[in-house]
Amino acid sequence: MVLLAQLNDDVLSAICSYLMARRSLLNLALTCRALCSAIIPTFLYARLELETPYINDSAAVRLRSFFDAICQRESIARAVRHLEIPGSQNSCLYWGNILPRTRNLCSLKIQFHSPPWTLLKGIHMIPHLHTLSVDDCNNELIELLRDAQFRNLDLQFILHEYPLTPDSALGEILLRSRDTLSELKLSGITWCFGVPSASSAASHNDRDPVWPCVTVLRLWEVTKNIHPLHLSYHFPSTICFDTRNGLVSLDHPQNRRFFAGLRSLNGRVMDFELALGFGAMLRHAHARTQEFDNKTEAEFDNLPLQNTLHSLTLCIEPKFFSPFLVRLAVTCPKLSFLCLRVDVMHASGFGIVLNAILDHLSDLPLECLRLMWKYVPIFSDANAAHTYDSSVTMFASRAPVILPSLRLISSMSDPFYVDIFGTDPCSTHTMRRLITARGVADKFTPILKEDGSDLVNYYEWRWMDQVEEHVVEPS
Amino acid sequence: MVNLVTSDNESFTVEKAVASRSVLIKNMLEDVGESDQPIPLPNVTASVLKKVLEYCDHHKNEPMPTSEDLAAEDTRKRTTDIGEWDQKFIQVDQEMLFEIILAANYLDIKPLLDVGCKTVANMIKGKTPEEIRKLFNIVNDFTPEEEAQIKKENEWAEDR
Repeated sequence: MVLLAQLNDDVLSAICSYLMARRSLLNLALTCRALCSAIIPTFLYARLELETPYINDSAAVRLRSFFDAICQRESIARAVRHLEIPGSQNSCLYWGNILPRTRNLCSLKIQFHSPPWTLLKGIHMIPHLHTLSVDDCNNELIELLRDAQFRNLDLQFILHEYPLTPDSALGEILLRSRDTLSELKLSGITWCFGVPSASSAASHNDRDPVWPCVTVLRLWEVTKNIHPLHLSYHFPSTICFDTRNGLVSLDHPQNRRFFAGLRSLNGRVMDFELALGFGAMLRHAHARTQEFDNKTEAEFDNLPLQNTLHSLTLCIEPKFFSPFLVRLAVTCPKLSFLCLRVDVMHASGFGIVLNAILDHLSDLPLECLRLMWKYVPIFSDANAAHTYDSSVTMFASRAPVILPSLRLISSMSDPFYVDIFGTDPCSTHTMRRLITARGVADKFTPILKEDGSDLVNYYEWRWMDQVEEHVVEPS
Repeated sequence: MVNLVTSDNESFTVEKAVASRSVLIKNMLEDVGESDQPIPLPNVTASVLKKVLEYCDHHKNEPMPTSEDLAAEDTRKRTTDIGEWDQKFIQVDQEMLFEIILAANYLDIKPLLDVGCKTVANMIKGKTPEEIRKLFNIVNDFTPEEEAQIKKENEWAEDR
């Protein structure tokens, strides 16, 4: 009989690649010597991921064992591939020393503000780095990276807007990465790349500001210099676009081809109107309906919903809920993923919202429903947590009959609200209908916390792996 | 049609489109060209090949993973979810599960290898070392002191 500990390296590597929680990897390594030597350091030390960008003091102390292991053993330092550096000023000193030792590091994420220079100066000494994400980037770091080449870049300039000219350090990096860059996320820049004139455009050269492999593009707080931003020219292959500017500044006929090619858009309602006007056939939409101001019914009436949508995320208030769901059921017959961030004023709102979903969405092929509640308990709402839990339980018990295609339910407090108000009244419920040899189970079962976000992510982006239906334009 | 012969000398005649889900067999067919010669599969038994061919037949019309797909796996977030048909298909005893995984690895059928490895990973998640040992019949060859030392050295990994 074949045993787990006797599997070859390729197979063991494939199994370990699906153990995202390092606790699971450690527990597997602790079963016997053979698995221990196969897993530590190769897999356990390959990735350091964080749930939140900031960690408390006790977690920072526990991370010392990670630092110590890297400092003491070359084999461990070589195993590290992906690092997320937490926001803890004390540990920053260690990171500055450690980065140059992680010679095989491919991917680095620094999520906190004002990272110290001792940390940043280590980055340019990593020879194989192809993915970099820095939440608070600065000119000095970019200058150090002037000769680097990347596959994925996510840079936010917070304090000072970065003038992105062809001769700037970031301009050099982007031009050097023309054939490798697949994801580009920039915030806080002034775009100063122009488009070659028609006569010079005929002769392409390696200074042409075209990134043909960028499929995922995020531009936040990006202003233009003199010329309008010519997205069709610079990013001819982009299918996923995330904007915070509002696309009106991009409303030029020359960008028609860019928008027509989009399949995923994260933006405001007005952005969707523009993109759809230019012929986009979206399969994934994240509509940022206004989150702080009072939303109006007109905003939801105007939200352009398309029959090509498979995946939709938006904020909504209960008073607009039922009419919106009725429209959604008619307009989006292919919708399989729905994420709603719902404002609830009283605990009774949980049941009202969940019943409305059962009443109106039974005709949709929904597979995953994610609910993020924006709710702050008030003085008279002492039993809110109980009301919430029983409403979700009631929903899960009725859903298999009324929404037979539904496989995953995720319900939780909106993390944004939890951060602001410091209260988490809605505990996380993640449930799925399991598959057995006899078929799909007839009820929902709670699943492991470590699987929750992974499965939601799977359903939200599954459309990317599915063949796009041929759409016949109406004559 | 393609004729495949297993290690226990059983013969299977299948459509070329089904057999070609295996990159190993596909390459053999391309190298040899049209031929009536049976293809020997010395590392696969009949009971396992029957299961593997059931998988290949169900997925025969799907596009094969391209080199771009494989390269994109590095950058896209990995998921452990499995399609519903595949979940039902892989509900087998543990011995057969490992045999299917090894066969998928040998025959180079990446999607089937993924289904098998995800299933094993899902069986491991959330379990203590002792529960994993029991589930997979693993003998603990650590002394208590060694186990405690490994835990201490890797204390950071218990956070998540």
